[in-house]
Amino acid sequence: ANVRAQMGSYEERLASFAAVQHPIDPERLARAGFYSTGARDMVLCFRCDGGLKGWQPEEDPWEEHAKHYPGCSFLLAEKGQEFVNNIQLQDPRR
Amino acid sequence: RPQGRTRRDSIQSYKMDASPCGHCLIINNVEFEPESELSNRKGSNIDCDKLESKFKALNFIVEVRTNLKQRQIKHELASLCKKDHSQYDCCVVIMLSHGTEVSHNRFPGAVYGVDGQHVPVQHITNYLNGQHCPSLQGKPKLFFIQACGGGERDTGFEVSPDEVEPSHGGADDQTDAIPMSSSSDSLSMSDEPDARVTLPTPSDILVSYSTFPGYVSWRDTQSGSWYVETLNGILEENAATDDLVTMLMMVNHEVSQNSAKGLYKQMPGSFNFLRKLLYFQTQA
Repeated sequence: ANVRAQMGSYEERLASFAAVQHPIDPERLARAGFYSTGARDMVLCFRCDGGLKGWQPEEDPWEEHAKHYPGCSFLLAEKGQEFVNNIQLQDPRR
Repeated sequence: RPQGRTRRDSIQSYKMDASPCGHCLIINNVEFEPESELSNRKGSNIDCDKLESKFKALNFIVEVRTNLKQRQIKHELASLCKKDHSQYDCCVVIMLSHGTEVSHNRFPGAVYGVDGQHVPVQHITNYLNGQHCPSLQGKPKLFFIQACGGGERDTGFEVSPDEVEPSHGGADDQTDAIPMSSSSDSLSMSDEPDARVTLPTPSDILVSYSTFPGYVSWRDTQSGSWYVETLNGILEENAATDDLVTMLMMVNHEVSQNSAKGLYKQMPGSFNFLRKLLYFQTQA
């Protein structure tokens, strides 16, 4: 819980990627609430604790956040309900 | 978009041709115990009747349970979970009650029993997941929830705070919220941290909320709730041609445009872990 509390700051989250080769731009990951766990490309959200790994280079951190953890209060506060609904109600064949 | 009868043969659609299609449990909480400090939900029986006939028309075996306490809600869900669903293609749970905010990263929110004790939405969905209900594995499990996620009124963007009057919405509109008080603080962080990367993503589950947890949900005492009225109308008009997710997009649009009914706005939320398109049966 202490790590998560620290990671409330964008700068701390960004710094967590310093020693990691990540397929996604760390600034975009950090902005979307994610910090690096240090284990390969696995990231966690500081607010909802939702974890994501196996990133593809074309993926968008906010979209993945909304797709897998639509109830995250940081996501909802930053991006709004309409964004989350639009991701959640995409064609499932996406 | 697939047209006509051929759509059900599509590899990207769930098999939905069992007859009957599956069970549909409706929990309709209207009269709350005085100790719960929750008001009676006038108009909810209208919602309940609409959805009962709608899901019967979609070839579901519909059972309605009225005024259940928390313990009884859990009991009903457990019995639904223990049923053998192997002959069926789908399962539907509808909850009409007061609700409150409970944080969870996939299925936030909670629904009240008439005793004022709540059941987190995440627990409600767990009863029917692949682990607890093997005969529903790989089959769509749908949850429709008409309840407030909390007391925050969404005024929309065009209204300035000083224009907000105590009388909101139409004269008959009530909310499914409970007032936010310090006593509800203990509710918000009460669920288990079960969303680690090591756990599988919930699959084949869709939860449609009348409103995002944290916001109120409006109910007209004469015509029922905005959400159920809209959902029922959209299903009536479009179930023969459109898939569920497309229809929920229509519901969201219509409810969020519903400013004519009052000052406050409402945006339904869909938390969708379905893997394929879902088309209801519209011809018996």
